[in-house]
Amino acid sequence: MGDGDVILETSRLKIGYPSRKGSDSVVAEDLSLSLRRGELVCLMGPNGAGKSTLIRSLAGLDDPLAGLIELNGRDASLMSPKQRARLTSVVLTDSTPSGMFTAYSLVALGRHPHTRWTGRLRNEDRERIEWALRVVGAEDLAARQVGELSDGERQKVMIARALAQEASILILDEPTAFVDLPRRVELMRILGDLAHRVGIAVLLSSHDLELSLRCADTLWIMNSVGEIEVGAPEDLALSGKIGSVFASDKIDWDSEQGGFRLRRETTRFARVVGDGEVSLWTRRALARMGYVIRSEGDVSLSVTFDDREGDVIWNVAFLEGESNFRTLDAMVTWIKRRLLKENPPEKPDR
Amino acid sequence: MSGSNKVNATLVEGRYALSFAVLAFVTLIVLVANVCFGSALIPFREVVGSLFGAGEIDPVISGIVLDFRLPRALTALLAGAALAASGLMMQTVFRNPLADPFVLGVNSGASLGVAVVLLLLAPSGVALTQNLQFSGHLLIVLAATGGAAAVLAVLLVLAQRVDVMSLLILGLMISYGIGSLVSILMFYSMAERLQSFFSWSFGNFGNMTWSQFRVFAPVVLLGLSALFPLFKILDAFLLGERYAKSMGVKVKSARILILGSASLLAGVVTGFCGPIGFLGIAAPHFCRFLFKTAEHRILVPASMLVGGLVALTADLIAKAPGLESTLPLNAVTALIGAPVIMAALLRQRNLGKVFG
Repeated sequence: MGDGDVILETSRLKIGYPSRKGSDSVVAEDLSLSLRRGELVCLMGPNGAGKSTLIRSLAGLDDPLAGLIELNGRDASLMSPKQRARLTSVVLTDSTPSGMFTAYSLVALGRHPHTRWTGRLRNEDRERIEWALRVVGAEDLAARQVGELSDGERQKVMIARALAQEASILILDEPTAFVDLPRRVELMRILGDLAHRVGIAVLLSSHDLELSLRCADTLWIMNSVGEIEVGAPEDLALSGKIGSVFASDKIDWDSEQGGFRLRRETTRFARVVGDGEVSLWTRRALARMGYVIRSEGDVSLSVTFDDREGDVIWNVAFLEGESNFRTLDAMVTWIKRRLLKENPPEKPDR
Repeated sequence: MSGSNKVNATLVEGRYALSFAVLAFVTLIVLVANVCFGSALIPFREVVGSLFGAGEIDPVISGIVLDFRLPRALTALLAGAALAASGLMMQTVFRNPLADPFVLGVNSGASLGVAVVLLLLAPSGVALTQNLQFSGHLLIVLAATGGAAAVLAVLLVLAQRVDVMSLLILGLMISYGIGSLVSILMFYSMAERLQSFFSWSFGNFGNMTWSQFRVFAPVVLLGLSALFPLFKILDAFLLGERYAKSMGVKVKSARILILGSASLLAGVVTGFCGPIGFLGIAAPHFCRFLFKTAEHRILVPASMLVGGLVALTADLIAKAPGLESTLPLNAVTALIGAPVIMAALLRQRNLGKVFG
């Protein structure tokens, strides 16, 4: 994708909240970002970094403190709200009305910038509404009352409403919050399809790092002082930038596993001999008990396994001996019992 | 799918048209009944005769019909429509099912104006006819409208500075503040002065003369017709101001336009007829229940019709035809309005969640 596909571009953008007394509270400044058609961008960052402020500023809901937002090469601040509404549509975390609204009529509100003053729908409006419902897989919900929908279904309908607006940029603030994992994956697939097949630019903020790493074309990683790293998820993971933003004194970024790891105060080392699926889940089980897996150096226990077409036998070797297990659960229980014997839990003071 | 939706849409539009026709017909009947019945018993034939100037009619009787009953009925129709439309707009903009035309304190502004005239100026020697029916009433209209306009002006200035929820709270606080000023004035007033203040506060469509109606009707009709270009914007406001902005609505100017015209309607009605409660809340809810929609192109005209209908009915009951005395209008609107809202809520439980 070349530069010709850029639909939103910021230069030296400064966002935050204006104050009457002169000193604005700045959330982030000097932002130079761009969105391309056909691209799914995930904005990630810790709570309080200013993701929502950035989302609202780019969507034109809050005015930036300084700098330029260009939509299709034109200065957005010079556009009328209506012109902007034809380029950008949003899904927000704001509560939605639930009484007296069918999903269809909620989606129909998205036609607002295209209908005449009565808001009466023409055939082309109805076609677009039906298309939007179909694209998000919500055509069966059309006649349902919005109040009766589940969180995931309602989110689909809100995305359909934004699509009915016929804009080239779709901006979503935490669309997957309050939605369970299968529905979250489904929503991300829908948003990815919208970017890749329909060709609109999709920007969403999310807390779900793992899902974003798997689905996004580009990540915007915002740290706690409002600086943004931009790149393909895999590049950002390899360069350790994801780790530097999210890691804290409680968790570490594990680039090999592609996920985060709880940090423990006492460090115990273990070795797992072998690879493949069984090895992965064995490591996870040991990590859960606070073991750091290393392939060289001193370890307090070493695990080998024998995989005979699904029948796995694990062998755990300690300094003092070894033992065999048929399930990971049995292995974990046994190791835990040993650890308890070594370090009896502190009794609370009476 | 496209075809069946089109059929459904046509069906729904047909149902709407039928409901409108029925509503309009019932309103017309109640309008005629309102002109026909009153404290004096006048045969239907003579009422028609007075209206159309046919036949030999006693000038006293035709005077009652033409100069008292007709302006009164038309006032009730317009005032009801204005209050209902105003209440609908307030509910939509504040996304609150309990908002009414007076939520921003417009009626307390009016009542302060009236209290100042009746309780403060009159005792201290300002020339007021003892009988407040005619020239005195005009002064009250001016005071009430002026008071409402003053509060409205303050609110529109505030509306540019704060968000809509803060504005709602500010309006309530202004109401309480002005209410306490009024009660201080009442505390120091003589009983006979209080009596005329109370009779204003009960509401009355019957004080309207033709010369006043010639001012009242154009202002209300202007305010009502200003709503028609706002249907779509009101629909967008149902999703909240942020979504409205994202759909291309100029939120601040739209908010000022909507609140301005809603308060103007409520202020004018309060000025001429006194503070009439409940219509503004009840009529929009009844229409949502009746039409099962939140679309304003349906709800605005429907609320106007239902508001006029309820006002005419309440006035008819308040006149207590055939009985010696009359009832206070505000008591009747609440007696009709409260059960309507309760029934609608019980039949349609999600009415309270209209605004998310």
